[in-house]
Amino acid sequence: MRYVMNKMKMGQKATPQPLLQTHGLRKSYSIGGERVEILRGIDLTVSKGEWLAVRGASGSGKSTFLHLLGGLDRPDQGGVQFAENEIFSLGNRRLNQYRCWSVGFVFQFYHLLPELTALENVLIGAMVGRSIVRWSRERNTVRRRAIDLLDKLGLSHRIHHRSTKLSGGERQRVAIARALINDPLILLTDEPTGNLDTTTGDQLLDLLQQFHQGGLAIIMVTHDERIASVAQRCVVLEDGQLRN
Amino acid sequence: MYKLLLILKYLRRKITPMFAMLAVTLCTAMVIIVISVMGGFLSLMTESAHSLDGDITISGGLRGFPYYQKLMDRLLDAPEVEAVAAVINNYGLINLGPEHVTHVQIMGTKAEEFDRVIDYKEQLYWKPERTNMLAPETDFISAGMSFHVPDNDSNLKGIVLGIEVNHENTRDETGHYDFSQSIVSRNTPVILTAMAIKSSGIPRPVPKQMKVVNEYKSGLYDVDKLRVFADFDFLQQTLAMDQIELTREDGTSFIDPARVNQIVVRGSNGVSLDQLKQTVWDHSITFIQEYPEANHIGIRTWKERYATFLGAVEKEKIMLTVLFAIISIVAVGMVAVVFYMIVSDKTRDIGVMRAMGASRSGIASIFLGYGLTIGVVGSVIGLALAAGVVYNINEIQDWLTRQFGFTMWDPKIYFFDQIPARLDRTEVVTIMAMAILSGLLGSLIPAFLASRLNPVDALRYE
Ligand SMILES: Nc1ncnc2c1ncn2[C@@H]1O[C@H](COP(=O)(O)OP(=O)(O)OP(=O)(O)O)[C@@H](O)[C@H]1O
Ligand SMILES: [Mg+2]
Repeated sequence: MRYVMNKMKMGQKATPQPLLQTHGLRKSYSIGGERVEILRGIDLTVSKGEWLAVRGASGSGKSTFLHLLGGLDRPDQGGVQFAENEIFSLGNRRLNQYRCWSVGFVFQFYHLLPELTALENVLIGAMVGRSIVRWSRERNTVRRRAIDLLDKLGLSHRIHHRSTKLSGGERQRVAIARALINDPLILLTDEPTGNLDTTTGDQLLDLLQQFHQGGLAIIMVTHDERIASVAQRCVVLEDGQLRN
Repeated sequence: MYKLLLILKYLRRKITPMFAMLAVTLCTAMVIIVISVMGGFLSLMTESAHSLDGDITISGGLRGFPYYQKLMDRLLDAPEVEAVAAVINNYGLINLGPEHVTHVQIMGTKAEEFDRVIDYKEQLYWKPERTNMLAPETDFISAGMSFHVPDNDSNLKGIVLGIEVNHENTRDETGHYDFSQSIVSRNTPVILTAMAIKSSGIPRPVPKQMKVVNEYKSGLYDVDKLRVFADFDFLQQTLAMDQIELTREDGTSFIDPARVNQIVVRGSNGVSLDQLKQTVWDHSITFIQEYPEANHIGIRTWKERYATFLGAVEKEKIMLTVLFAIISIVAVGMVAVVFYMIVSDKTRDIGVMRAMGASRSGIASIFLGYGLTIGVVGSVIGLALAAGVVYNINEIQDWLTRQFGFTMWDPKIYFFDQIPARLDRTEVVTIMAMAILSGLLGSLIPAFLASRLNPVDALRYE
């Protein structure tokens, strides 16, 4: 997987290649004994290095969609292709590798581990995919990268603070650093500014812009039209379908 | 790697696992203490039983058997045999006063010879350190060895009583007997009535006035309330078991050889009981072939003699241990409950870890490793606790008595003045392994449940 990704990174500048593709993605939940179709056949292509915003009302299924893209949940029908691989037909091991190396996921509610410090929260993202041997070999490099990321995100003074002691905006940024620690090709972020005030939200968008310029593809879920306008392209999720 | 980090962090930051650890600690300590005290008790009993009649006894019943000296000489020549002693064995009554008659088992020994087989001298109770203050000039040890009565003006023979034969002997709080109360310190003679067995097999009581010169404590109550020792030659004569010249009806005379009831044998160092038994067996066979008059002798090892007695204690020990081990299942339950709580508490973290690419087995191993750690740490603390208690059990008991006037182990009642306890390596290792296993076992189901969580469901968990 890693090799595929590296190859793709090199080819990045030439023609916009599809990075992530969905076809006929369907997902339903049974709520109170009744099946409710949240996603009713979604076809979407995201190119390398593209920044896409997905808009939709609350409860429209944005998070559900993003979870499917990140391989955190399985669709009822349809599939997700990443770099020409159908991720749901990969074995468990490869699917774990996909989650670990190919995508970075930022949750709507950050979900940092409360026992760990800001730095540890970032590092653990790197530990997951590495054996002890590999970790001890790459420890210093990874650590430097983590501190670097936190620094870029304006958290250098907070790296040794427990995550529970951080403010919402700080947690959001730690979550982004964690998502980026393994240098993924695409960042999936759920309401990145949802819990932030306008100024902090705008700062965060600036940061995302920087990473985007570095070649990172971003799929950003939001219900805010203003935020969505920062992205290169915007789609709307409504009645389980995507509209442009 | 993340597993180690998380285990460490969870351990440092959580109170709940401490309860699981405490459960493991207490159960480990409890089982180790019980098994150590019972084991100490058993080994003390075993030691005492071993010290009664040497390694092997060759017995010829109450009539005894002749030509014993021949067998003894041959046994002494065998390298496997360290020492042998001839013993006169008899039953009778002892009369310590008009209201005080009790049945006894009589042992006639040459004390020096006997002492080489068992540590008889060691077991004589009235030693200088126990009597010096009260009878400084009397040597009770040599009196107990020679059966000579010190300052004897009546030609009475000495006798050594098991310490519990005289009911008036009572133990004080420290488990010791009071010399001034003892019959040894009194000048009153006692009457021993032994049973001489004629060649017809009919017993004839022979009463003898004697003087108690010392008392004897083997450590086994049932033995110490029954056994008395007297001089070998004296008893042999008294019971008409010595060599006598008899005259037939036709006027010719013949020798009826001396008899003993028992030969006790002590094996050389490093010779196993089975080896020793084989040697004794082989020599006895040739002996019987030569002297068919002695063909009724029986050979038994000390283990065989006390098998039922020691077996009972052993069973008790096993039963208690099993009982406490069952109670220790509580520890497993405790670990399981605590881990179930932790897993619920950490469900969202599990979702995050899975979302970051952690595998199911990785998640499971976090909790298994956690359980293992709790098992290891808990059982090590438990061992330390148990060792502390076992090595200081008598001090703890003294302290309890002083503080609350409450005695677990009353030396007045129990025969051993100290609570016997020892740590046995194999037992400790087994118990520790069980404790660690219980930590693992307790975390098994919660770990499995955690690994089955779907990342998205885990993330939605409130
Ligand atoms: N595991 C689940 N079980 C049952 N229903 C679910 C589940 N997950 C999501 N839903 C339902 O699916 C719908 C879409 O949820 P989702 O979280 O995707 O919405 P959203 O667009 O992200 O909303 P918001 O903007 O408030 O975050 C909701 O009505 C929710 O109740
Ligand atoms: Mg949402």
